[in-house]
Amino acid sequence: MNDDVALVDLLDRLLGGGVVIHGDITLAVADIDLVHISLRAVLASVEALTCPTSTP
Amino acid sequence: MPYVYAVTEPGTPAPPGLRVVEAAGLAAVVGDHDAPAPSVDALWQHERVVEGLMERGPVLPMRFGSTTHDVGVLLEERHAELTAALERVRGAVELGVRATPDPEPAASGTEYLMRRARTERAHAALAEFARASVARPHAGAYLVDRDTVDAFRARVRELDERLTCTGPWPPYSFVAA
Repeated sequence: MNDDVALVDLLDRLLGGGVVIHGDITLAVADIDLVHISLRAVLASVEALTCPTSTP
Repeated sequence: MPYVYAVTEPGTPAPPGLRVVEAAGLAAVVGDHDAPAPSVDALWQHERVVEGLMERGPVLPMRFGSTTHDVGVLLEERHAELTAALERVRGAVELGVRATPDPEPAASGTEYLMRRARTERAHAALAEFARASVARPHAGAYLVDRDTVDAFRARVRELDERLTCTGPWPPYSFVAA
């Protein structure tokens, strides 16, 4: 690995690439802090919004 | 929960402090620890483990932070996809290309766009040298045969002296079909 590697190169790959196990999304906010969003939770919320008669 | 670093071929020796789980004709390199917070140091620690596996054979790097209750089930459930992905990357490495940062930040929108345009203009020419390529807004990623790496780097320099080529990386950008 050469010396010209920038943080963006590392983040593109380790956080934006690679094999994903679950449908979880991790977003970086201000360098270090993370907002961890579970896709399952998001999908459940969307389902609740679009199918108002179903129980979440 | 076990932390998964990479998927490889059976027979991969376990790196120091880690273990290998084999199932469904595949192997996973695993650490018995939780996913660390994604500090730069933790990211590089993950990267060093995966890079250490690259010399022995094809490697599918996991995204940073990947944990699962049952590694064997992961390999079994996704063995077709993972086996095909290993074959796609066998004998190749990932190289990245982007505009070399200027010492001064872009002073105008035009300048910003011109820097991005340098990366985009080179992309088609470089993609010809690669098995596969990905164009991100700010950088290109290329899956390149190991014995083509030097020629690829030379082509980058010929195309534009203000491009930076990074790598070889494990093929993070090429694990999906």
